[in-house]
Amino acid sequence: MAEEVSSQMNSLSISETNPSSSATISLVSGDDIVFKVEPTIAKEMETVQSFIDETDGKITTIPLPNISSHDLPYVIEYCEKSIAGKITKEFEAEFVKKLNNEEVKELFLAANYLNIKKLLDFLSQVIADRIANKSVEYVRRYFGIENDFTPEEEAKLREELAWTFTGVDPDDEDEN
Amino acid sequence: MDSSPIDAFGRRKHKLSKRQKSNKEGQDLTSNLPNHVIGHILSFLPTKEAIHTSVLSKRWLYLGTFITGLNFDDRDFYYSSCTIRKKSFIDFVDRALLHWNSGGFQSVSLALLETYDSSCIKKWISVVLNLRIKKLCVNLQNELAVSSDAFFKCRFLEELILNRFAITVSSFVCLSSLSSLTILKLCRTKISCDSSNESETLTLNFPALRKYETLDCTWSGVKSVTLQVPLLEVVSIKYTSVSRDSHVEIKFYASRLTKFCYSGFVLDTILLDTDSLASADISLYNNEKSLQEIGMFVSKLLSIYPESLKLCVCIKQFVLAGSKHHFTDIPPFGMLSYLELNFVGCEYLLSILLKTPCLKTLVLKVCHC
Repeated sequence: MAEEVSSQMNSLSISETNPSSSATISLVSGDDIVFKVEPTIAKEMETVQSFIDETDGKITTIPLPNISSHDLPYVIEYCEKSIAGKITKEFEAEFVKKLNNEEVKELFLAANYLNIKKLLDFLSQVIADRIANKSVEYVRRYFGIENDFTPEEEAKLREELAWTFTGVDPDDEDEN
Repeated sequence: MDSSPIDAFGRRKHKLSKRQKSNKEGQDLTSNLPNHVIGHILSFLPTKEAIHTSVLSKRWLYLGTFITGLNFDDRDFYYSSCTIRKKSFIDFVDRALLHWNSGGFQSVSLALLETYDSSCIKKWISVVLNLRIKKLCVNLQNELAVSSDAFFKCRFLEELILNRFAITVSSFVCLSSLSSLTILKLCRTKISCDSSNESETLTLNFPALRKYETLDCTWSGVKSVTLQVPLLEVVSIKYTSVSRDSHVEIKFYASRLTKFCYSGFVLDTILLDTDSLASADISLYNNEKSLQEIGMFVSKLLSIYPESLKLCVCIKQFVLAGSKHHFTDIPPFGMLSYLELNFVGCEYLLSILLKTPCLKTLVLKVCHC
């Protein structure tokens, strides 16, 4: 992998005098899989685009160590739809149907890392929908949050917030 | 609190670390997210739920302060008794607004299914507007009468969405103070001019407005409305009902308009003053207007030189006996490159085609020739 990156960088530096704007961008996932995408897709990913801009478009292979090859295709698919202006309620419903809770969270982290505003907003809504009306214990498990309150502290807090605790759904069993 | 969640938590942790190595030991997925990102997620929750998250852990206790949007919906309050439900909702909104009285959030949405005392709703609106929010969305089930002053003084407001309001506009009021407003959506809202307006004209200034959308919005106490909207890009007007007699002329001074949509019944006269329009989409339903009037309406709209035009007139007689001269009178469509006609008779086609030198695409749908 490392060799592949450096050789590509060499070939690009040779053609420096004539940088081709339509060259595809290679995104390298954390588990070393290369995804080739159109520059327009990269534009949707602010983190990637700013990397390209900083190097004046000379570097077109971008390592994304925080994103797995499992998640990246979803991100790319969403960006493609977004560019085509085809983000509909139906598409989003289908898109989210394919994802379990873990995948939603991973994609959210990916969208946050890549700084894709639309995807971030969409996934925020998905996460919000999935933790809405759930018990505190359920939400802790969902995010993997460790409860660092003492039972007394938590009881006191719950009492203070009693005015907001009405109509919480019973916890689902494993939803994955 | 009890031990079972910890078991489940442990199991989940294990599963996660197995599936994704890069997520170090499958720890708290939110620990590596900045506060404002979590605040962002919380802003998509009903505010009632968002407040619950302060019990999650010590970090989350103060993450609520990063919330950027409040969402109040009285359907989130489940009580069999309507009275208790309303009371607990009012209590909740009052307390929540007190809780966030320092502001810091950008949007507020208020959706009410029940009927509340109008002074109560007005108080909430005035409180949140004083917090310099950027987006306000209010959905009501029962009409609320307000004065335009309530909104028109908000320099920070960028998006205003109102459903079922009756807004009284004073003709003397200076309306350019909504200087940041970029999106205005009004549903089932009645706008009336106060009786002191003798000239029966009203001029509204929205210097930053980009999008204007109305659904079944009616005007009264005025004959002519002028909208000074230099940055306006999109206009969408819909009428799904015809239950009124008044007729208003609405004129948009919008030199940068790109998209115009009109659908539904023919009610007001719409005039567009614009340099170039990329697309116009007009769908008209049958109503009690005479064909002559519909023809007038269409030809007035068509004088805007769009580059692309979709015209759908769902009125059969229009095809057979439509007011031909209105189509032949229109100025040449110098810019028109795309024309789609639905239910519009072919007898006008030739006269239209003669006036469209740049036409590239012509789509005819269900045309009874």
